[in-house]
Formats: sequence, C-alpha cells, structure tokens
Amino acid sequence: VTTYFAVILGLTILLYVLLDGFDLGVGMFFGLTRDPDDRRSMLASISPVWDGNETWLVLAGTLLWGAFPRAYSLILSSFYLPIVLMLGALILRGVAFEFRDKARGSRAFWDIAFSVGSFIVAFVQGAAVGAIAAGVPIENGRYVGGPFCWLSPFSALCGAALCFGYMLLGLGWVIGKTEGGLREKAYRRVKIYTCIVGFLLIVLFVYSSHLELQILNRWRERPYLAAFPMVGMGAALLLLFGARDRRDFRPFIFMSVAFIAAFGTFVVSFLPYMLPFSLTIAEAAAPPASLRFMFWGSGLVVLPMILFYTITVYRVFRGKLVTEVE
Amino acid sequence: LSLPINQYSSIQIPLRRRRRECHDPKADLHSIPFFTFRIMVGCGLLMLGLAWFGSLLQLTERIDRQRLLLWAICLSFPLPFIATLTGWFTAEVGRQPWTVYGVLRTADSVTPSLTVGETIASLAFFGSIYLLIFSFGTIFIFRLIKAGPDGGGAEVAGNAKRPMAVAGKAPVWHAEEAGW
Repeated sequence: VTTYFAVILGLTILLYVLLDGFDLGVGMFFGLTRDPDDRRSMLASISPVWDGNETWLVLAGTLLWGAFPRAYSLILSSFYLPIVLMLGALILRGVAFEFRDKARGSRAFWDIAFSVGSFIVAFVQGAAVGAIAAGVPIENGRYVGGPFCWLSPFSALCGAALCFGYMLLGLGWVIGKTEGGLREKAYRRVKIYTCIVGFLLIVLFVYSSHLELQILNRWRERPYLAAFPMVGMGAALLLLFGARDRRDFRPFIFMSVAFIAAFGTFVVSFLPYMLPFSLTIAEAAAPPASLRFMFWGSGLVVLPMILFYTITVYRVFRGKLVTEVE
Repeated sequence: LSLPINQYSSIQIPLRRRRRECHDPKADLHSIPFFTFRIMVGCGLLMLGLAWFGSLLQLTERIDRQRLLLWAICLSFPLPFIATLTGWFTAEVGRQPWTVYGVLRTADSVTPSLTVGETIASLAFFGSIYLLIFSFGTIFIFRLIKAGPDGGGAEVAGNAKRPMAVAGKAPVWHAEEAGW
C-alpha cells in the first residue's frame, strides 16, 4: 500500500507541475505582454482550467498529510515562510483573475498581482525543489535550519530556472490555444526561453558539482539516470528546431516531455528517500492500517473522480480560442 | 455550514463537563463558541427565511411591492461571510486546548522550529492580503447591488460556458474545432 500511495503522490505532483505549470507560465507571460487583446486571450485560454489545476496541489498536500505524515510535518516546518508566501501569492493571483473584470480603476493593479503572483509561486516552488535536492538540515527527525535556510544562491537559481520552465509550458499552451499575432509572439519567445533554460540548467549542474552536493553521487551509482536528462534534452532540441513546422500542439507536448524527464531525474535520484538522505519513503509513511483505510476512500473513489472531471474539462474546452465577432 | 454544527454537537458535552470540573480563567474562552455558534446558526436561519419568504412572494408575484423585504435582502449580503467566520471561531476556539480532541494538545502540536517572528510575519502577511481582498470585494459587491438585478444579470448571461466573463468582449471557445 505504501508503494501505491508513493506512486499516486508522484503522479499527483507531476500532474500538478504540468497543469498548474502552464497556467502559472501563462500568468508570467501575461506580465510580459502589453497588448490588452493578447492579455484577454491568454486569460481566456486558461480560465476554464486554472483553478482545477490547483486542486492537484491541494491533493498532493493532502496525500502527504494522510499517507506520509512525517514528510508532511518536516517539509511544512522547513519551508514555513516560502509556503506562506506561495499561498499568499496563489490567493492574490486567483482573486486577481476574477477581480480584474470587475475593476474600474484598479485593473492595472490586479494585472500586476496576477503576473507577480505567478512569478512568486513558480520561484518558490523551484527554490524549494532546489533546497530539497541540496539537502534540508534535519537532525533526529526535526528540522534544525533557520527560517531562510531554503533561500541560497543555488535554490534561487533553481527558482529562476523553474520560472522559465513554467513559462515555456505556458507558451506551449498559448501556441496550442490561440491563433494570429499572439501565437507568433509565443513562437518567438519559445526559442529564447529554451536557450535560457538550457543555460540555467548547465549553470546549475556545474554549480552543484562545485558545491559537491551529495545527490550527485547518485549519478555515479546509477548511470542509467542519465537517460532522463537525455530525453529532456531531446525534447528541448525538438522544441527548438521543430517550431518551424507549425503543428501548434507540439511545443506543449515537447515541453511536457521535458518536464516529465526532469521529474523522473529527481525521482530516480531521490529514491528510496523522500527528503534526500534524511527521510525514506518507508519512514515517512503512515501506519499500514491508516493507509489501507485511506485506500478504500480516497484511492478508489476520490482520485478517479478528480481524474475524470479533469479530463472532462479539457475535453469540453479542447480546440482553439476564437474571438467572437459581434 | 454543516461542518461546524456537527463538530460543535460532538464536543458540546465534554465542554460542559469541563466547565463544571475546572474553574480556571481560561474557562471564559467557552463563551466565545457559545456566542459564535448561535450567531452562525442565526445567520443561516435568517438567510433561509429571506430566501424562502422571498421565493414564496415571487411565486405570487407580489415581491415588487414588499419594500421592507427587498431592503432586508439587499442588506443581507454580509450574512454568509459572518456565518462562515463565526463558524470557524466556533470550531477553532471550541476545541481548545486540543488540536485533535482528546488526542493531541495544541501546545504539543506546535512546530518546534517555528519562531515568534515567523508566526507574526505570516499572520501579518495573510491579514494584509485578506484586508486588501475583502476591501475590494466589498466595493465590487456594492457596485453589483447598486446596479441591481437587471444590471448584474446582463453581464453574467453572456456565455454560459464562462459565467464569470464579461459578455461580448472576451474570446469564446469553439468546441467543434477539435485540434486536440
């Protein structure tokens, strides 16, 4: 049962990253675009799905809480301030989405809240992943670092990389969902951002070997790990050079593959640890009786339901965005 | 609404027992859930009453002449908010000093590494965000009320698939174009 919940948790986090990743990316791209029509199209392209995407974050948190309580308590204690910051940004961002249409004088403010909120959320998530990979200071099952332990040059670089990564996902989404000038703008940015992400990842790799992160030993122990970055690199190259043939759904697919590869890299280099080198999945898991109890309720009923309505929403709103002519 | 009620009914009896047993000054805390619970239920009943009475009059088509009722409905907009807030007070204050009733005390469930500064910072952060959101939310609600049911309704009816969007201005979806 532990394995089942570990797999479910992994899939939930991956789905969250892919889904909320693109709408956060659209949010950031929104902040870098000035044209009001483009902005409206971007909002319209994510408006049916963005809040549904965030339920996967709630689900991931709940799964951690219910199935891996020790990991939940450690992660939330070590990342107290960044999580508070992320939640605040998510609140502002979500509210801004609804308020900007109601606002008269304050629309500019809500637009800024929307894009800055998206940036903060992406940055914090990237920084948290970086901090976890670098190792969270834990002794005797307790967090012993300070409130700003999560923020180091290394984790800040990870945060920046994730911002650009999410933006690429968002651009892929915009390309798939719109036509005309906005799509062309997105196509142009895809190339620039792919290069930036590639550069940041190389810097991160060099930096982490400079820091002699423990996680790098994993790469020596498990050479097959390299397959994941290879797949990611392949996807990035396709993204870079495949942009010409204008199959509009492709950039998003390539970007998703790159993200799945990145996620796989982390998972395989973390295993069997949940928090590298301080907490294994088995240590973090709830007692088997609780897990079995949860399995019948959430595992067999709630999860398929969420999956079902998520797929339904994307089916209903498939296709391109068209501006209605009056 | 139902959640705080259930929680309250299950903890009411132990609370009363404890009130008899100990006479420490903290027992004053029990007056908070006592009042908040009743305020919450009162708000709920008031909303139900307004809605049902209004619907009844609507059926008999006399609602336009009931100025008093219309004003009452108009002024009732903060009731759901008050009910939610007092409901949370009931649940959260009512279960003290326990986080999980009878199992885990609040004092034992505090994160060891959490500092006072972090707590104050997060509280102030959330407080200011909510202050901002609720201020603007109130302004927008007032605008909706001022526009009246006709003014607000036209804005919503534009596209059933995107009820929050402004009609006509925003792009809409063409489902038949199945590119994906």
